[in-house]
Amino acid sequence: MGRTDQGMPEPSRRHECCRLVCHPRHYETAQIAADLERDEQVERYAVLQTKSLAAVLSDGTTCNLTVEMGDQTVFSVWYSAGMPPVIDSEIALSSLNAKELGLSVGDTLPLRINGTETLYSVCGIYSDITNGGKTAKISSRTDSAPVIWSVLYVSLKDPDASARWMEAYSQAGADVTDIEDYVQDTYGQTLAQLRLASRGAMLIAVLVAFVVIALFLRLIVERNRDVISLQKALGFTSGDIGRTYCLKGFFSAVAGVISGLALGTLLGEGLCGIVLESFGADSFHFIINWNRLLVGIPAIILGTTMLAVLMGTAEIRRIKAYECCTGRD
Amino acid sequence: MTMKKLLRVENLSKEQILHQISFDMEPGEMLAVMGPSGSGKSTLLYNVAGMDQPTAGQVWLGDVVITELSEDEKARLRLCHMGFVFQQMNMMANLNLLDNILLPAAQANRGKGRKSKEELRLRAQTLMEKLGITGLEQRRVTQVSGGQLQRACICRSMMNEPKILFADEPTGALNKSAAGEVMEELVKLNREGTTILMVTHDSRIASSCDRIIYLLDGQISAELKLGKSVAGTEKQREEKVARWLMEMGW
Repeated sequence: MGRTDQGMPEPSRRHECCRLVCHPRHYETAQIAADLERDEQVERYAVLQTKSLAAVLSDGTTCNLTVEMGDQTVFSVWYSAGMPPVIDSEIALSSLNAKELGLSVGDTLPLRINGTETLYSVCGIYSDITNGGKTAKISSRTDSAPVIWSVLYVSLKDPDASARWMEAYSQAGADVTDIEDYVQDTYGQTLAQLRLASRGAMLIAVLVAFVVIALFLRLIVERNRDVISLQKALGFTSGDIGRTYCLKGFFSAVAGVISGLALGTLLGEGLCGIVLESFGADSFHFIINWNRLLVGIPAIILGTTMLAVLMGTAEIRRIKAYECCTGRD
Repeated sequence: MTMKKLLRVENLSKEQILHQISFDMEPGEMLAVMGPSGSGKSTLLYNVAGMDQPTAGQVWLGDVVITELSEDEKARLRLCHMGFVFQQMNMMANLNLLDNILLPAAQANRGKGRKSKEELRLRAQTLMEKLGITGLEQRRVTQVSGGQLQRACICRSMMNEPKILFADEPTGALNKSAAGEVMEELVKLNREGTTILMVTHDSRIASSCDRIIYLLDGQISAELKLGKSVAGTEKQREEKVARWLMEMGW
């Protein structure tokens, strides 16, 4: 299973964190912020407003950037390069945006704020697969452009009281979601697909290994038919002969598993990262389940191999001892 | 009298090939099975040696009823108590001559309390020396002559000191000179006490045997007793066999 560090509070704190989405008709963002400021149960909070700002490109043309404005350090996301924006003239870009705009940390990007061009310095790059993977973050909230949506992240001093606390704010008109539920809602399908893909890949690997090994061994047995028949004529039992094939199969499978584990561990993350980077997640990490990796999967592969070897070598029992003299019946 | 027999075959039948064959062999005897092509000579040998299962009848090797053994038991019996020499000199192409000779011995000597590798190697080399193929140990099977290869096959068949040696046309693929040499070695082994059952269509080879049975349409149609050969009587024996075969319509 993999993990992506997306545009959300750091995963280690997510159980303590709630996400409030404001419905301005019922409960103004400023009002919530004021309430949170007074609320003794609140450990910390951040108000983030998303607006669409025009970025001026090097050729003079503009494009709209979905920019999240507010204090980005309170619940900082994980940055694959650089740091979150701290001062007003800094901007962090999602990896897809950085790639598309051809910018990296240290470069500058002019944004049209309140009708005038303001130069922002790219301070960080983060992974994001929300909103098409093309977002940006700044710390200032000075622009007068209309807010698309506002989100408040809150962590409580007593996480056990979160249910009651959430209920109270919900009744006041805010849309409150536990961050864990939010993650599930937002990434649940992606995670389920990844899980399905990983199980599917395992199933396919097992089936392919089974079919290839069984067919390959059947071919080898057929090629060695005369030799096997001779061995039988000389007094080798089918079991004696089969065992040599099983041993060869077993050691080949062990070698394969070791190479597979080594390659998967060393290169797998990088290769998956390349694929996922195209979706905007450039900080993909494997969370390795060592029990599964070192015991479960090798056991499945070795079991499959031995089963395939047994099936592939079943013909040995049917080979007659006299075939080496007379040919096949 | 029954106790004296090493091999007993009673009413052996195999589908449409062999019909009610019965014969026996005493220890140290050399028996040739002759007959026209398709008469069932080789099939008889495979069924007697436990390489194939007859449809009826029984075969004893000493007190063991071969026909009642499982496939694995028959394999074990072949490994430890029988030797085989085939016409095609079947050997493992990926092994050298010495390893080919050692193959059945190595298999029979697995487990505790068996002969050491060195002992087996020594026995193989003694046999190779006896059959005149010393120095060919490391040669591949493709690097030696047919006669040398067949002598290596005889060495292999003798590695586990078998009670009986089965030879299926052992000289069939050899030229006259090599055939004579191989036959000489088989006769020598027989003189030293090895019981040999040989299938052949060569009257000269058969004349070296103590007894010949003639197979026709899957049945024994005649038997010729020659007794042990004595030096200087080879020509007379050959003529006797030739005359007998002519009577059989050979």
